Parts: sequence; C-alpha cells; structure tokens
Amino acid sequence: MILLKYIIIFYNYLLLTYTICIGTIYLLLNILSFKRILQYKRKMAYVDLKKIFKFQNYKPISVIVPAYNEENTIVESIKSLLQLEYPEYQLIVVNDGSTDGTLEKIFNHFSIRQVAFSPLYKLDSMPVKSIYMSPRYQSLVVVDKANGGKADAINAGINISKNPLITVIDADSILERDCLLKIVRPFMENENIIAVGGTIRVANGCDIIQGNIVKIGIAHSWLARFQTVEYLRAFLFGRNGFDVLNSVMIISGAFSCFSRDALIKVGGYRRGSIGEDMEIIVRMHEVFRIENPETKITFIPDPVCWTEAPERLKILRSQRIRWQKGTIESLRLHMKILFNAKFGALGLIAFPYYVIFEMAGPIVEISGYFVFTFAYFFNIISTPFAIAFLSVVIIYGMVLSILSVVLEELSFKKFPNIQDLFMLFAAAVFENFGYRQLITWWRFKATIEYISGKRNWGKMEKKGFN
Amino acid sequence: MESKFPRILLAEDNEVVQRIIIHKLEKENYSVTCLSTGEKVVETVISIMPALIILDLLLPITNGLTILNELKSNLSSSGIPVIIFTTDNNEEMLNKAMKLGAVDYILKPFSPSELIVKIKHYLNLSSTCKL
Amino acid sequence: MLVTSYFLICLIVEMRILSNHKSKQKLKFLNKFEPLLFSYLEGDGLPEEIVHKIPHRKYRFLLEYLGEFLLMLKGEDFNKLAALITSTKLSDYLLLKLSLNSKKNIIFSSFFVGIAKIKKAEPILQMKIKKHNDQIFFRCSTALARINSYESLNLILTEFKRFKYYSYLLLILTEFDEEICNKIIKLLKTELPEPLTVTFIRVLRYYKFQTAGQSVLTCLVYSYSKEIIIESLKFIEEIKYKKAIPAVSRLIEHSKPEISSQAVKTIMKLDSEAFEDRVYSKLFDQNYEVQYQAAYGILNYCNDGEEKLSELAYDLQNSNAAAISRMLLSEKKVKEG
Repeated sequence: MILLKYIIIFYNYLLLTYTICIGTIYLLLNILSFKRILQYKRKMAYVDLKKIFKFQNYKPISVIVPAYNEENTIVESIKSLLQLEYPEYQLIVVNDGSTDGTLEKIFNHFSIRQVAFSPLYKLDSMPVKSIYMSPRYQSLVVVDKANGGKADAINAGINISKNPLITVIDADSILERDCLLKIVRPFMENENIIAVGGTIRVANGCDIIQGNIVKIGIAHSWLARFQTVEYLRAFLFGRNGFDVLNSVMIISGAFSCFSRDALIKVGGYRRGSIGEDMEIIVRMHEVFRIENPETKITFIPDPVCWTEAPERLKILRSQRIRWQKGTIESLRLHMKILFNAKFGALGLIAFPYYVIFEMAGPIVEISGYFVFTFAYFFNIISTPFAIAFLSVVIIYGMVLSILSVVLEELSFKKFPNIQDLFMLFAAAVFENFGYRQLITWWRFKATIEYISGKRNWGKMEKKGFN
Repeated sequence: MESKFPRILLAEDNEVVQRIIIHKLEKENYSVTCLSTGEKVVETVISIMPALIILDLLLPITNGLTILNELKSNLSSSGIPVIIFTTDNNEEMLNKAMKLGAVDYILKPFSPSELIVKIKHYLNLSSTCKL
Repeated sequence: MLVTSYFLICLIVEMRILSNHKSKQKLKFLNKFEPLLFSYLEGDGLPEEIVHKIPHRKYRFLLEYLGEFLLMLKGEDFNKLAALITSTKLSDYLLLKLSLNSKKNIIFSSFFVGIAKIKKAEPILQMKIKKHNDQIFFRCSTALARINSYESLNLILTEFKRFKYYSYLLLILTEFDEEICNKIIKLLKTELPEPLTVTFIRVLRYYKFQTAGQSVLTCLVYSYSKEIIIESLKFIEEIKYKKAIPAVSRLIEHSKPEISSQAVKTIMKLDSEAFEDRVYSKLFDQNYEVQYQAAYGILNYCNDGEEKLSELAYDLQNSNAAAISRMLLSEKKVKEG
C-alpha cells in the first residue's frame, strides 16, 4: 500500500518532469525556428526570385496531384494549378479510380485526349487504364488508374514524370502563385538536398476565389481556430526548429517537393501506408544519410500552401487517429535510426524525441491525468503540489501557444485584421482547456489500436485520402 | 455608332501602374475601365466590348494567359486587340501570349508615352479595318 | 511567465495600431500630393517648386511613393521623377540618411540614390559596403551598380568574399549596364574561384554578349569544373556560337550525364545535321536525362526526326528509349491538335 503510494508520487513527479521537458523542447524549437525564419526573410527580401530563375539552373518540375472523388473542386483546382508561376512544369493529375464524376468533369472542361505514354519508371502501383493530354492546356497530363490509395496514385504519377523535380500536392491544397519558385530554391542552392517541405496554413476563414486566397482571415469556428494556433506551433515553429538540426522527419503531403532520382532510388511511396508522407521522409534519411552524410531534407518557412482544416469533430478525430498511427508506423519501420550516431542529430535527438514525446506521449499524458486525479482525490499528493502541477501543465502550454502567435506576427504577419489577432490569442489560451486534451485522448486511442493490431485505415477511409 | 471616347480595358493589379496609366489615358480622351484581378475580365470584356485591352500577364486569381486564351476562343471578343503588359523575366509566358494572338507587348519598367503611341496605332488599325 | 506573455501581447497590439495609423497618414498625404505630381509630369512646374511644397517631415512618405513609380517607369516620365530627387533638397536628405549608422536609413536611401543615379553617393556607398552586414552590402552594391560605378567593381568583388550567396552577386552585376561584360571578359582571363566564374558567365548570358564567345569557349575547353562547363555550354547555346562546335561535340560522350545532356542539347541547336547520328546513339544512354535530350533534339531539329522516333517507339529491346519516344511523339501530336 505504502509502496503504491510512493509509486504514485514518483509517477506524478515523472509527469511533471515530462511536461517541463516537452515544453522546454518546444520553446527551444521555437527560438531556433524564429532565428531561421528571420534569416530566410532577410534573404528573400532583396532577392528577385523570378530574375534569379531566369539565369540559374532551374530544373523543370512535374507536379503530381492525386485525386479521389473530387468532382466538386477538381476543375477549379486544375485551373488554378495551371497558373502557377514557374518557367517550365507539367501538371500530372492522377485519378485514383474515383467513383464520382471526377474524370468526366476533367474530360468536359479540358478536352483531354488519350495519348500513348508508357511508364518511364517502374514504381509499384495499381494498373493504369489510360493517360490523357489536352491540346489547349499542354502542360496538363491526366492519368486514369485503378483505385489504390494516395501513395499508389503518387507512384503512378512519378512513373510518367518527365522532369527531374517532383512536387506532390493534395487536390484541395490552395497554393500561392509563386510557391514553386520558393520551394525549388533550396534545390538550386545545394546539390545535396533531396526533399523540401512547404509550410501549411489553415485556410478556414479566408476569402477564396477560384482557388486563390484573396484575403486572409481567421476561422469562424473555435475548433478551426484552435487548429490554426496548433498549425503555427507545430508546423511553423516545431518543424522549422528540427530543420536547423537537419532532422526533419516529416514534410506535409499537402505540398512537398522531391528530387525524382531520390524518389526512384528509395522505391517510391510505400503502398498501403497510413502516414505515407512521414514514412517516405524517414526512409529517405535511412537510405541516403549513411552513403552521404551531407544529404539534407529541408523546409521553407514561407506559408505558401493553405488547406481546409476539419470543422467537424468526427472528421478531425479520424484525421488525428490516422496521423498518430502513421507516425507510429513510420517510426516502427525505421527503428534502426534510433540512437544511431551515424545519423547525427536525427538519430540522437529527433528520432528519440518522436518516440518518447510523439509516439509514447499520449499514453504518458492520459495515464498522467488519471493518476493525478486519483492521487489528488486520495490525498496522496498535496494541494500545493496539485496546483503547481496544473499550473505548469496548463500555463506552460498557454505560453507556448501565445508565443507562436507572437512569433508569427513578428515574422510573416499574415493576419491583416487586428480583431483576428485577438481571436488568435484567445484561441491560444482556450486551446489548453479541453481541445488539447481531446486530441491527446484520440492519439492515445490510436496508439492502443495500433499496438493491438488495428493498423488499417478502416473500411470507409481506405479508398479516400482525407 | 462609334463612341467619341474609345473605351480601353486595363487589367493590371499594381496600383501605381493603374493610376499612372488611367491618368495618361484620360488625358488623351480615352475612357478607362480598370480591373485589378482576373476573374471578371472576360465577363467585363463581353459586356462592355472595349476598343482595346491592356492585359497584365501576372494578374491575380486568373492570369493573363488564361484570360487571353478565353478571349481568343470567344467569337465576340477575339477581334479586340490585346496589348500584353509584363516584366521582362517572363519570356516563356510572353511567347505563349504572342502565339495566342496578342497584337503587341509592353515590358515593365515602361514608358507611358510609348504605351500611348502603341494604343493609338492599334486603335487606328482596328478602326481602319472596320471601314 | 504569464506577465511576459501579457507584455508581449500588448507590444504586438501596439505595433499593429501604430502601423495602421501610419498607413492612414500615408494615404492622406498621397491624396493631396498625387494631383501635384501628375501635373508636374505633364510639364507644370519645376522640380524644386514641387518639393518645396512638401514639409520636411513628409519626405519619407514622398520618397516611398516616388519609389514605386521609379521602379515601374522608364523614359521621359522616369527622368522627370528622378529629377525630383536629383535637382532638389531630396538629394541632400538622402545623402545625409545614407551616411548615418542606422541600417534602416542606409537601406532606404541606398535604393533611391541608386535608382536616381546620384553620383555624389558613390564614396558613401563604397564605405558602407565594407561593413559586415549582408543586407547593407547587397543594397549599397546594387546602388553602385545602378550608378554604373565601375571604379567600385573591384571593391564589390573583394567585399563579396565574405558571403556565400552567388545569386546575389548575379543580381548586383546585372544592374550594371552592358559595359560590365567587357570588364568580365578581362576578369575571366585571371584565376578565379569556380562559383565566381559561373556567375560571370551567367551575366554574359543575361546580356547575350556576342563578343564574349571566345572567352567562354576558353573556359569550356580548359575547365574541369562541371558547373563551369555546363554554364559555358548554355551561353554558347544562347548566342549560337558556331566556333564552339568542335569543343561541344567532344563533350557529347562525357561521363557526367549533366554535361553530356547539356552538350547534346547545345549541339542540336548549333548543327543538328552533322551530329544527328552521334546524338541518335545517345538515345540508348544509361541516363534518362541524356536520352531525353537526344530524343527531343532528334524530334525537333532533324528532318526525319519523327520517323526515327516512331520506329523506336515500339522497340521492345530498348524500353526506356521507346517510352521516351512515345511520350515526346504524343506530346507533339497533341500540340498539333
């Protein structure tokens, strides 16, 4: 009995340490990121990108857009993607066995005709039925294939890409016109770069006309507002921080760019993956970093891609469960990187961070809530300790979120209305009273499900991407 | 009946460029309709049928090339002369625009007097053709 | 911690409010000044008269406004606007700001002295680029280049050694007028670091400087650097320098695919007839890029290119070449409608 009491007290202190650790790590990441973002901004402020591209070794790009049941938005998306500012690129839309009118809409609007392409590469994918091009829109290529999931669709696109750089985009991503110019720049500056990720922002609340953001605003629902702050904290500052250590372990599938040769070398995306965007990056590290320690996977801090965040709890839940399972799967498949000095900071800092705080984190946190509540109600821990504990957990979290908003204002300053800024600050505060706990609970469930063998997407989700 | 003040449509998003062109054109007794983004250009052209169009290639929402494509595919608007306006870093787009049927182009930085000369030339040309 | 957060929030909010206020003031100023400016451009009034009407504390607004016009215009209107700066008190105002230590002021004024070509600013600009800050170096060097201050060229190149971003140097050098190409030709005869040579050749390509053909050919022939070779090939392709044909043809079978593919591309533009057979054999190279350039060249520059690729399109033994041929032929067919 007394032993149990001491174990519980010890566990509570462990939780406190855990919370302080994760908070401090995030703080450090924020600071590192901020420095890097300022550097980036300074570089970009006096660089006329288009002029540089005119002279330098710009490489043509193949933009791959996997599409499944997007009949409502596909025409507008394609129209908008055909207007990106880049000297030379081809747009490959992969219709992954849609059961709605996606292909028909493309047929009608873009007058596509069948062509006699054969694959240039042999990455794993479901059979391709036909390939089409349009006489009016000569950079458009449409691949019609049997359903196989997102990773499969991207592989099919890579197989017919003629250009040395491949950009992968979600069909509902909203891109800024000069996004390709920005994301390709690191490749031009450093031969060792094999992948670049773009920063994603939440589009909810923004005015969008024909696939273009014309005015940035803040979401109307609190759920989306919380996600906006979360994206700032995790995406903008978290991932950028890891970039400083050359330990980027995930770049978002909503907008990412790869060297085609690197993709071919690692065998393309893993079919049937839950988190294919993280899995391929970790695999690239594993394959390339030993051979060439200078290999780099990086991030551009510029927010060039906007995406709609789920506004319904049910959809958010399935998204977060998928993300958690994807993370665990990616880590599990590449465990040899853990604590492996050959991978530098990736093996010694980033990978362990993901294992301890991202993979095991939800279990620690949820168990922590139970143990803490139990301990408090059974007077195992004192009230002052309980208050201190709660303060650290909630206030640290709040301060970090507020800091993210502050840093965003000091760097990119994307929100024009001062009322929106206030809303963001409010969201940063309230996020910690329920939203974060809910996300953690779902992640905890996902972890348990994964460990107990439920590793698929679930029946409905298998065919779709969202 | 031909209007005494030929109407010119200016599709350009840079405010400074807009203001100076509008001022210069109005001095020459042209009436100007100005649009800053691309999504309503084709619709506006078809409704007001300007005598000439000045079209920025890098217009937001719908870019100049897409607009030009649509204008030239539409019988009612395909005959209106279009002068392309763009920066000199855009050779590929400019070539495509000329192939699509633009009559001329002006590079930024530009000389407003040169622009007026070109406008007068193409307006004369098109009114001569109508005779 | 909470106090710090509260303090930060207040700071941010205050910054926003100030910035909004400034925008409103600027708009008010513009509405008053713009009619004046337009009538000046039509020929009304002298530069000094216009500037005289503006209070000193609004000079910054005035310059910010003029700056936008200066970037967009050339010719007579540009000269008149530049005169507003060069023949008035604005010139002294800018020179004063430039000589201060404040980074913000230096960056602001260097833009105007450069674009308005204020020669008097040269010594100050030369002094400023010796500072360690990369932003100041870049802005002031750009200004010197816009003034065509060739006396400063060596200084710029020396000070540039502190930085790594050659794309910036490219932007600076292309702000000079075409005479920079003659200076570059002389510099290419000396020992230079590889990225600098590459940058120089890019500047020559930007100006399509025909006279540089021989110098770049020398770089091509005597260099072992992949980047220099590729850049030289691109320049030769751009100006269609036929004297380089023998040297380029020797690179068709180069072991590095980046060089080989660029050589194929260049040779097909220079003399497709003489090299058709050699390039045809590159269709069966190991590297995709080389194969692609060979196929593209054959299709677009040879009389019977289409027939040749059509034969290859169903060649089961050479699946890569077949796939590339099919792709290019399809693209061509679709283009032709």
